[in-house]
Amino acid sequence: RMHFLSFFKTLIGKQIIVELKNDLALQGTLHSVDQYLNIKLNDMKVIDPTKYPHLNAVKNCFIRGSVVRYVQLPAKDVDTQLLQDSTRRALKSGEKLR
Amino acid sequence: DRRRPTQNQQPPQPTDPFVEHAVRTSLISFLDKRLLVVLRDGRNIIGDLRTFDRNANIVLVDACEREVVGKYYTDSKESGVYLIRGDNVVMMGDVDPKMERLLEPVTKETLQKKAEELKSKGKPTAPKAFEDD
Repeated sequence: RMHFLSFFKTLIGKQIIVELKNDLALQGTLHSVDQYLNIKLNDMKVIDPTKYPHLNAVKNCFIRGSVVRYVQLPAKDVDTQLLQDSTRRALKSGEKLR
Repeated sequence: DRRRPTQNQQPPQPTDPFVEHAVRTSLISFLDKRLLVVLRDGRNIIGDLRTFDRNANIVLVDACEREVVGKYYTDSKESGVYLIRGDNVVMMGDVDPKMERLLEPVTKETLQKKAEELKSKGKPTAPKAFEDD
């Protein structure tokens, strides 16, 4: 099921904010995403660095998909109509397979 | 430097799209780099990445545990080889040595004092640990 993987791939090169389950929020440019939705960010900076400054020295990071809580996306980069259509298509084909 | 043979090399540029995807998405670009690894229990390990696998299990050499409070840090005295199970990894990033100079190494006692100062002001000292759901 490649649904969200394909969606994230359209956001490569865009600025996103990844909020992790330990409440850490990291902003950066999406460099890559894989089948586990592991995320690699370039030019990463921590939102609210006064809270956790030790990550200031990190530029490029790898985030394990399993620790992501939210991914904040720029609204203009998301075509919700396209997303809805592809979701409907995915559900349709899913049902047929069953 | 024999111990860090590929430190300054780029990974070989592939022409095959599947290989290209693997190089782009995987930890290949971090091999032999000095990484800061944040674990689920809130610990930070700093070391050179020697190897990894699909589950983000990693091997770090010349690695030690770094405790950080604000801009002050203290590294554990022993350094060695860490094999970290991927489940425990939150994130890992390459450490920019220029930025690292903005941090100040202190003794463990000093660090504890700084942590208590922050705590008394009601400020967080480090990202909280969490368990998977």
